Amino acid sequence: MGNLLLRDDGVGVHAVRALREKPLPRILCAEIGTAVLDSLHLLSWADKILAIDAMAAGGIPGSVYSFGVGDVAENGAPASLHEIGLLSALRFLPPAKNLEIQILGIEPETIGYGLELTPAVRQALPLVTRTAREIVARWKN
Amino acid sequence: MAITTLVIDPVTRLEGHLKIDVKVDTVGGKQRVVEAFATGTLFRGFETLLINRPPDDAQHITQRICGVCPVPHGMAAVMALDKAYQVTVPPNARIMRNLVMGANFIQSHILHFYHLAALDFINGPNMPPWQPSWQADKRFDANTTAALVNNYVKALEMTRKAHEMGALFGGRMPHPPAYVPGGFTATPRPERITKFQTHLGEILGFIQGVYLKDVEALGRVYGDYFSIGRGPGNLLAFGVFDTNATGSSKLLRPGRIANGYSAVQPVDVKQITEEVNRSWYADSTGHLNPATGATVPQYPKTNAYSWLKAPRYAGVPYEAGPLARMWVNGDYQRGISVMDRHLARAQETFKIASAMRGWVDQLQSGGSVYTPASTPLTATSYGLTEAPRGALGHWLQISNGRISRYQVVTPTCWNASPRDGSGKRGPIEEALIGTPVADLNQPVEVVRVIHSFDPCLSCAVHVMRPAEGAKIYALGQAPGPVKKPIPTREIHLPPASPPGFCRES
Repeated sequence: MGNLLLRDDGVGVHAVRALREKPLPRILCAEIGTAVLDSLHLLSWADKILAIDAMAAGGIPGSVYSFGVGDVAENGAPASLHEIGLLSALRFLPPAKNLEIQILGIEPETIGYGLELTPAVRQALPLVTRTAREIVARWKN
Repeated sequence: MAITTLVIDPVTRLEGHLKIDVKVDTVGGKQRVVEAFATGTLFRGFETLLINRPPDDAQHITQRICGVCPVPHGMAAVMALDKAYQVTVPPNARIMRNLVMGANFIQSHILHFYHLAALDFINGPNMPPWQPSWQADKRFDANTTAALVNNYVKALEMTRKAHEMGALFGGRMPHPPAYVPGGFTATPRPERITKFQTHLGEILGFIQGVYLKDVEALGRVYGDYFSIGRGPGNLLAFGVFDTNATGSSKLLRPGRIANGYSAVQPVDVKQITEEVNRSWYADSTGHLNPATGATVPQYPKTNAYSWLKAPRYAGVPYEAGPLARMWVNGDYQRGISVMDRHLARAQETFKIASAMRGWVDQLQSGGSVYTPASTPLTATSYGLTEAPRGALGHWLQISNGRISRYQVVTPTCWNASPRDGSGKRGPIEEALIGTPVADLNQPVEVVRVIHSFDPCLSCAVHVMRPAEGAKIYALGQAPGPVKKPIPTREIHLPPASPPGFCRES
């Protein structure tokens, strides 16, 4: 998830593209970008989800965090449909749906116009993809 | 009472950034808007980056102006290029172009009503996107509210399927790559036609059984909005969805209405000028027809207040959009207001979706979709069509086989335009004048008027924050102590009001 046009905000999309270089059997690697509401059909189709996104938790840029969906703060009032976050989107799913959701967050350095990640965040990508692979490998067991 | 200035910046639930300043005073014992200024806060600049590029790039680059209605930009560009290349596209290509664009209209209209506009009228559940919101003047009872919230979710599914329809023939949505001068790059394949028809049938059922009924219900409960937000009373349509090879016949024909008179008058493209007196562009580029137009930003500039130019027809502001199209075609002539715009838009959705069913049947499997076309060394051309939110034109000049001039005039430039040199307000500004404002702290009436035009100015940050006391595990890169979460974007929220509202007395 994230906006590819706003540098480190797009780190989740960069991670998904890196993950796609070596296919993960039975895992759909989806670029959600900022179209979270448009991905509801994917959320309702999956039974386990790993979301990768920028995470402003206050650590140094490039820090990688792992946490559950219950630990994410709800975004404030969205100014645009593109600002509807994962948490809000999940509330649109049928309540019976028991989704297992895990999140990898990466502390951004710069959020502003540009296609490139900052060096600190780019250097965190191998750790992100390695951790992502470990997490989905555990799902299969 | 003293005049109060209300500033809504940004106006939320539209794409892009629009700032509205309105002044409210007591007129005839009632608080009303007495002055309005609409400010487009983004410089678009696509015209500048197209210069010196191969003309075939135009339909790809201009589609990136916005993800909400990219297809009309692709259509306007290929129409201009077809003319410049002197090619006539085969029927299959014309139909495929129409079908992908029709899918985009359906997607955009349903999205506009349920996801952008209806929230001004519904007191939804306590979660984004419904809250925080102004609580004033929410008239639906609990059962109707619950049904409308449920339809919001259903509408999400419909807009997704409409996007799928566009992608089935266009290759992807948004920004389908299949539009090319000379035709279309995809051929109609039976299995795709079948899938397209299935989605279309389901969406038609939704439009008839849900969307139209909900808009009609809104009109009954908020009947006063048939007399709010009239605007200049001038309506302009370039026409859209060619039904023959020359484009002389269209599903929605071109025309204009002046001063609210019902006689439809022809559109003479030479009468269009763009004024820049109050816009952040060099005065030397003002009062030009887009065929000779130029984009020369000048910021700051005395008395200017918008990045939108002010398009005028024979010097007069015109409203563009579904109401203009439906009025010109005799399909809807009840009146010009907030509610008339919503009704005309919903009825147009049905008209387009119904026509699309017939077009799909006209596709010839295996028939050609392309007439060979090559770039001329020099040419002057334009393409006029419609975006969901109104009349759209692209003007093009080719020199030495490259783009030497490109001008785009969007519907929101017509509707959200600032004043021109003679001081005439743009349509949204004009529509706001006289709008009653019951509660200065919750000027919901103002937002309803703005949203009825479906303005689209063009994107967003997406960062998560940890909740207080969250359990977060740092995995590497030595984060140091996780500090108190800092919001990545400061939003100043007065109690229970949407972001970006302030009141100055």
